[in-house]
Amino acid sequence: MSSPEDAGSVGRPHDAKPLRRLARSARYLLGGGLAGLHGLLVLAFLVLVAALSLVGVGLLLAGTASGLLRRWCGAERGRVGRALGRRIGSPYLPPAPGAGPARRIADGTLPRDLAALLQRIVVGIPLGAVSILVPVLSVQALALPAYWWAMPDGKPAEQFFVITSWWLAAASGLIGLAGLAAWWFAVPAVAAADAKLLERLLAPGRDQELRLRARMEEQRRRSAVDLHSAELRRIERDLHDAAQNRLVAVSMFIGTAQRQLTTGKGDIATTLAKAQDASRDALAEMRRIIRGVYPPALAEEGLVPALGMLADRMQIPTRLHIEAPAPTAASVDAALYFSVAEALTNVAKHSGATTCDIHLTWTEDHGDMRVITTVTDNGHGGAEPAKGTGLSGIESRIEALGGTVAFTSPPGGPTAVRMELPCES
Amino acid sequence: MRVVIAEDDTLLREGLAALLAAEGIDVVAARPDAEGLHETIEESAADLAIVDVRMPPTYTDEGLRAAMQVRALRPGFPMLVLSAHVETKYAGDLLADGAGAVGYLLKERVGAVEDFLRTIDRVARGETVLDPEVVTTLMRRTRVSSPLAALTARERDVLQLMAQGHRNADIAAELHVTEAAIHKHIRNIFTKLGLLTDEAGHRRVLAVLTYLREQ
Repeated sequence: MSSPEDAGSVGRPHDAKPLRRLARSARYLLGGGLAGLHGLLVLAFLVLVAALSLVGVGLLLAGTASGLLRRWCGAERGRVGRALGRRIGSPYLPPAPGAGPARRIADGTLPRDLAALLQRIVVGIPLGAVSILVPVLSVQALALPAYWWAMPDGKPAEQFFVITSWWLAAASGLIGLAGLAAWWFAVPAVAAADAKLLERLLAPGRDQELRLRARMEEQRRRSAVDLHSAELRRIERDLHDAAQNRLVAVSMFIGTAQRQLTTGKGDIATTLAKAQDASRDALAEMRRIIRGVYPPALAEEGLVPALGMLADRMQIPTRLHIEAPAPTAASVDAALYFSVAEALTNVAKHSGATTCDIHLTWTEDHGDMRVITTVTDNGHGGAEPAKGTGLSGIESRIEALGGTVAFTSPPGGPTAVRMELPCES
Repeated sequence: MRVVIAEDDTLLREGLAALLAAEGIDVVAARPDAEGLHETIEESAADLAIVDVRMPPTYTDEGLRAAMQVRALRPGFPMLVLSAHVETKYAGDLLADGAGAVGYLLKERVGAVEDFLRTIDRVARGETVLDPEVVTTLMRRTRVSSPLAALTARERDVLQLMAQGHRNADIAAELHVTEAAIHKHIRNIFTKLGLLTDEAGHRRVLAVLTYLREQ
C-alpha cells in the first residue's frame, strides 16, 4: 500500500507515470541548483562573519549567521523531504533554559549543516545546470540536421559543432537522441541519489538523535515533577482552606460552648449545633479532596466503570466504547479519568453537541501495551485550544506519563481529543 | 478593649467575633482580608488586632505583612497573629522590632478559649506570647555554635517558658521549683546571652529574640 506521499517521491522506478516522475526529478534538480546559488550567498556571509570574528566584531553576528544557516537548512529539509515523500526531522535541540547563544550554536549540528551547504554548492549547482542544459542541447542537436537541410546548398550549419555533410547531420541527430535518452533515464536516478545523500546530512545524526531523545525525556520528567508539585500545592490549599479551617471552627465552637457552660451565659445548644455543622462540613470537604486526589470510583470500580459514571453524568447522550481492554497502571487510570472528565466538561460547556462518544482502545506497540482514548462530540467545532486551560491540563497529565495528546476541532465540527499513553509507566 | 479581626474564613471570623463579644470585648471591625489593616485600626481606634497570616489574594503571608506594616507605622501596637502552621521565620519577623506586644499562635489555640482570652490580655498589656509549638521548633533547631548552646537543660526550659510569655511565678509552678530558683536561672540566662541591660522587661524580650536569631 502506498500513501499519497510515496507517489510524489522522486526517482522511484515503479512510479506509474514516468513522465511525471521525470518532471518532478528535473524540478528537484533545478531547485537544488537554485538552493546551491542561495547557499553561495549564505556561505559568503558565514565566511565574512568568521573573518570578522578574528578581530572580535564578528562574534556579535554569530547568532545571525547561525540562524541564517539553520533557516537555509530548514528550507532544504522541507524541499528534500517533499521530494522524498517523508518528513526530515530537525536536529536542533530546543534551547535549554538559560542557555546563551554560544551554547545554542554549539549543539553539534554545525558540521553537518556546513557539509549540506557545501554539498549543495559543489554538487547541486552543476547538477541543476546539467539538468537544464542536457535537454536543451539535445533538442538543439536533434534540430540541427533539419536546419542544415533548410540552408542554401554548401553553407554549413553551426551550433556547437559544424555540420557539412549528411554523415555529420545523422551523427548530430543521434547525439541529440542519446542525450535525451540519457536525461530520461539518468535524471530520476541522480535526483534520488542526491536527495538521499542530502537527507543523510540534514536529518539528525545518531548522537543528535540521542541528545534530542534525552532532552525530551528530561522535559517529560520535569513536567511530571511540575504537575506533581502543582497537584500537591492544590491539595495543600484545599486542605488548608477547607478542612483545616472547618476543624479550627469545630474546636472554636466547642471551646465557646465550654466557656458558656462555665460562665452560664449564652445558648450552648446553638453553639454545639454550629460545631456539629462545622464538623459535617469538614467531612464533606475531606471527601471532596479525597475524590480529587484519587477518585473513589476509580479505586473501587476500576477505570472503565469509573468512566462509565462520568458518561452517565453528562446531560447529552454519551456512549462509552471499549475495545480489547488490558490492565493499566493506577497512575494511567487517574490521568485518563481526570483527562476524560476535563474533555467532557469542555464538551458540555463549549461544543453545543447533542451526542458524545468516548472510545478506549488498547493496542500493542513493539511489545508495549498502549491505551488510546478519544473523546469526540458532534458539536460546532472551531474550538481554540489556546483559549481554555482545560486542554493544557489534559496535556500536562498525559505527557507527564509519556503520552501524547492530539486535538482537532475544525469549524463545523466534530471536535476530538485523542490521548495515547503507555499502559505502564 | 477594642479589637480588629482580619480573617478570610467567614465562619471563623464570625465565630471569633461572637466569642470575644460574649466576653465583653468590643470587636470594632472584622475584615475578610488584610487590605488597609492599618487604616482600619486607626479609624476604629482599636487596641489590638487579631490577624490570620494566610489571606487573599495570594494566600501566602498577606496577613503577616499587613501586621508588620502596622507595627512599622505604630511601633508596639498589640498584634496577635494566627497561623495555620508553625513558621519560625514569621515569629522572627514579628519579634524583630523588639517592641513586645506580639502574639503568634497556631489557629487551633482559639479552641482553648480561656487560654486564648488570657493571651489576648497579655499581648494587649505588651507581653510577648509564642505558641508552644513555635518555641519547641526553635529549640530543636538551635545550633551548637549558638549562644543558646551554653545554656543548661534547665535554663533552656526556663527560656522556653519565658518565650511563651509566662511570668516567673508561672514558670516556677510549671517546673516545680521555687521562684527564687527561677530568678537565678534567668540571671544566668541573661549573663550567658550577654544581656547586661537592667531594664527588666526588655531583657526578657531580648532573650527571646536571641532564640529567634539563632535558629
